[in-house]
Amino acid sequence: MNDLLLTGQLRALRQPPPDNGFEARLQLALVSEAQALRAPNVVVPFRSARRLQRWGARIGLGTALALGASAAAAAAGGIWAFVASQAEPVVSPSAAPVLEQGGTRRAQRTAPVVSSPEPTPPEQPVLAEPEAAPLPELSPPTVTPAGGVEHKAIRAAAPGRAERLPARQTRPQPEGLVPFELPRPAGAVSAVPGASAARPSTPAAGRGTPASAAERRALPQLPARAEQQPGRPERAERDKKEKDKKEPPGREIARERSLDKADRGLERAKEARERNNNKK
Amino acid sequence: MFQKAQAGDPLAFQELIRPHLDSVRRFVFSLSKNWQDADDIAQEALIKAFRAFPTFDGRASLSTWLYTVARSASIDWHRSRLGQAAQRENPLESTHPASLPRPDDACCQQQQSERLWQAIQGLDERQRVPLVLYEIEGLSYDEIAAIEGVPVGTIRSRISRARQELRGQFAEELPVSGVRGGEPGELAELERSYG
Repeated sequence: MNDLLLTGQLRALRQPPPDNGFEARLQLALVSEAQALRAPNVVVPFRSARRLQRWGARIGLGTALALGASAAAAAAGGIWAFVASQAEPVVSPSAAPVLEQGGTRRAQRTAPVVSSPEPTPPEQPVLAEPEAAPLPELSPPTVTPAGGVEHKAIRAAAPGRAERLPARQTRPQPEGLVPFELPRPAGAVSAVPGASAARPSTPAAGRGTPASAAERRALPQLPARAEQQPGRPERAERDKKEKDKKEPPGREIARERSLDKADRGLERAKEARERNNNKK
Repeated sequence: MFQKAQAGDPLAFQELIRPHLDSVRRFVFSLSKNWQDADDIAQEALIKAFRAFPTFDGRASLSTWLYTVARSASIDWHRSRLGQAAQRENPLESTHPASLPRPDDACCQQQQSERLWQAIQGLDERQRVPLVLYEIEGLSYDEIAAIEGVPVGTIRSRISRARQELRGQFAEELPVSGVRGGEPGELAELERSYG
């Protein structure tokens, strides 16, 4: 079959389709469709209902999100508080870490702070014996002219500390050798046993880190553990002496009087007891 | 009448589309299997066209627009459950020439047309639609390209492929010298008309 014949055959297919009432059915269908299109519009209530549903869904979703967010925040806060309470150890005065022997940052926070004009570099612990360093302490309360009681912080006296420093630092250097100490590099770990290796030393720049041992010796020291450790008679005696020295005479007299009163009361009580026994 | 039809007058719309009814029905028949399904699809397509007629802006011709709507309706119908059920009930017969009645047995033009329709309906749809619209309905390449939404060159190639397939199917049965049912001068007239 060539193209012409095929074309002729295809053109021959262009015949009117069988008439089976298609036009009449189409007319009926079109009329009914037109009537359906002209029907009164009853979509408005449906639209309003849809709008209400939409807004209700939005409000509900927003409320659920807000409640969920606040619940999540509350849960996170509770967990944080629990973890923080578990991780925080109970700090007793006797167990308070001393800065000289190296401690963690938390120990630095919990240790009694003495105001000092110069910042104490935590990354340069002084290699001092615990009992050697004269420790700062509170002065006896002084009565201010206004009638209040005031405590003054007394910093440990710098003179005389050199003698109590460890022998390694006070050992006389051989002749010809200049004592020299390199500044401790950033990140160096303290040589004192027990010092926390986890505490990184901050860069020395800008912190006033002393470069030599002499400078370190001259720095004020924070209260040491020696002050808080019991069973050190020398220390107690020395403290007592210092207190006695600095106590005003009037107060001492008052104390003696009160002691006398107490003794007299005791004596009276004794006598009364003896009298009762005698009566019996 | 055009304005009335756009205003929603069904009778005006029917009068407007009356010249194109047969073409639309034939076109839909080429996409279906029998005239009953074709009429159902065509009616559905024309109702859709009536609904959408207010949006018809007249950029394309009315016939082109109706073919587009009819093609979409045919696709929708075949995708619907109704169309799938009809396909199950009346599976498409094999259009291979071997299964068709022999031309020796069918000596009338009606049988020849039916065989050709069956062969056309056996073509791939991408080739069938351009072939029907070009060869049977007489649309131009541009109009077919607008209906199909493809370039004109694609339409040309699809028509060429469809013709080649039809020629291959009928090569053994309809030799050039043995056109049955044709008068001796008919071939010469065809050659003269198609130049």
